[in-house]
Amino acid sequence: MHTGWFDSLHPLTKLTWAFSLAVHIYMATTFPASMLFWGLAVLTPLTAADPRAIYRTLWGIFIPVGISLFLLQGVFFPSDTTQLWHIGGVSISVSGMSVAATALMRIMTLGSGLLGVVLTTPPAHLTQALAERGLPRSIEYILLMALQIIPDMRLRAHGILEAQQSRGLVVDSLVGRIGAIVPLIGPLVVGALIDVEERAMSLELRAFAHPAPPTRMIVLPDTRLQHWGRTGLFLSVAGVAVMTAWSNLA
Amino acid sequence: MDRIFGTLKSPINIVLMALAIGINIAVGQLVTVLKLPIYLDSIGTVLVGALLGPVAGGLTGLLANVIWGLLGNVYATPYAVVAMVIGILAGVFGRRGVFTSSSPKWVGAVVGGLFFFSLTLFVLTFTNIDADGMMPAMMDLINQQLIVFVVTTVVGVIVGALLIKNGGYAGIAGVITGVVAAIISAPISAYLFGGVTGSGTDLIVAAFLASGQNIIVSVFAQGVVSDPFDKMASYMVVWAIVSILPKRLLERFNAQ
Repeated sequence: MHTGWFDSLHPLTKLTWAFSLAVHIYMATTFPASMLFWGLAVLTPLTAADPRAIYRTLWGIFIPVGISLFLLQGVFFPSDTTQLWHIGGVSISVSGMSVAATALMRIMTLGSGLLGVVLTTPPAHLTQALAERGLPRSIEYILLMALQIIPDMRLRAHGILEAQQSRGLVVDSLVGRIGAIVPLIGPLVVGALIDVEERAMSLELRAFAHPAPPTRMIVLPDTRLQHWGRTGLFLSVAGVAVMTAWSNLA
Repeated sequence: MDRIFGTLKSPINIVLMALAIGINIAVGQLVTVLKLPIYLDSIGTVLVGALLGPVAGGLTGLLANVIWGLLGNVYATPYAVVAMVIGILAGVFGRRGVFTSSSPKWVGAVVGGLFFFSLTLFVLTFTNIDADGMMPAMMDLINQQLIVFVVTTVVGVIVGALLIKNGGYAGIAGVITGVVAAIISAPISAYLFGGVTGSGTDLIVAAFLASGQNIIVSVFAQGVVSDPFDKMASYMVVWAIVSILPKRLLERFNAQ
C-alpha cells in the first residue's frame, strides 16, 4: 500500500504540527497571517497518501459550518454600520462577514490539523507514541479499550432498539420517544455493567498490574530531524504565546 | 495525584471508564435515531461519576471527548474540559447520595415549575434588553408578561410531576451541572468556533444575536437554555438506572 509523506511521519510530529498551526492562527492578529496558517493547514493533506478522503471529510464538516457562520455573523453582527447587501429586511454587514471569514479559517485550521492526524494515524500508534512519552499505561488502556468497544456498543444499541420495537415499543410521537429513553438506555448500561467484571478479569490475566514496561509489537520510526522539527514548533508556539501576552500587557 | 493514580490502579475502574465512553457514543447514536432534541451523550460520564466518584467521573469525561476527537469529531476535543467538569460534578453529587435517594413526588413538580419559570425569566430578560444595554427590572417583566410566566410555570409543574417523579434531587443536580457546563463552554464556543457548531442550537444563538447581544453572551444564553435540559435528562436516566441496579452490582463499584 502506498504511504504518503505525511502518513509516514511520527504521530507526535503530526500532532505537534497540527497543534502549532492551531495556536498560531488563533494568536494571529492580521488577516494575511491567518491566511498563511490556514493555507498551510489546508494544503497539508496533499502530502498524505489519500488526500481525497481527508478533503471529503473536511468539506462534509466545514460547508454547513461555514454557511451557519456567514449567516449568523453576517446577518446578526451587532453595532455595524457598513452594509454589504440589503435584501428585503435582511442586511449583511462587512464586519460580520470579516469576522465569519476569520472564524471559519480558524475552525478549518483546527479541524484540518486534527483530521489530518486522525485520518493518517492508527489510534493504537497515537496512544503508543504518547505512552512512550509518559502517558500513564492505564489511560492508554482506557483509550484503546474504548476504541475497541465502541463498534460493539453501537451494534448492541441498534440490537436493543430492534428488540424493544419487536416487543411493542412505539417511537412515533415525541412523548413515545421520550418514554423510550429508559427502556433503550437501561439494558445498554446494565449490560455494560455486567460486562465489567469479565473484562476486568481478562485485563488482570494480561498482567495489567505488573510494573514492568510492556513490550511493543510495533516500533514507531522517529528521526533526529523530526525531533528537532518538533522542538522548533514548540519553541515557535512558546514564542508567539509570550509575544501575544506581552502585547496584551503593553 | 494519589487519588488520580489510585483510581487508575483498579482494573474494574479502568474497564468501567472505557465502557462508559462507549455508552456515551452509543447513547448519542440512539438519541439521533429517536430524533430527540437533546444529546444525552454524557450519560456514561455521569454514571461513572455516580458509581466511582469525582476523579473517575472527571477523567472519563476528559477521555471521552479525546476519543470523539480521535473518531473525527473536530468539535469534541476543545470541549474536553467541559466534559471533565460534568464528570467531576456528577461524582460530587454521587458522593452526596443524589443518585441513590428518592425525593418526594412534589419535589419533582417544584423543580419542574421553578426551572421553567427561571428559563422564561432568563429568555425574556435577554430579549428585552433596551438599546442602551439596560436589563428590564424583574418585577416589571413579570407584570408585563404575567400570562407567559403562569403558563410556562404550570407546564413546568406538570412536566416535573410526570417526568421527574421521585428523581427530584437528581433533577436539581442535573440543572446545576447544565448551568455550570454552559458557563464553561460559552467562551470555548465563542472564541474557538465563532459561536457556531453546525447543529440546531445555532438557531438559538442567532435568536439571541438578533436581540442585540454580543456573541459570547448569545452563546452563553443558548447554553443556559439548552444545557440544563440535557444534563437534567442525563442525571434522571442515570438515577433511574442506578435505582433499578441489583445491590450486589452496586456494591462491586462502591467497594472501589
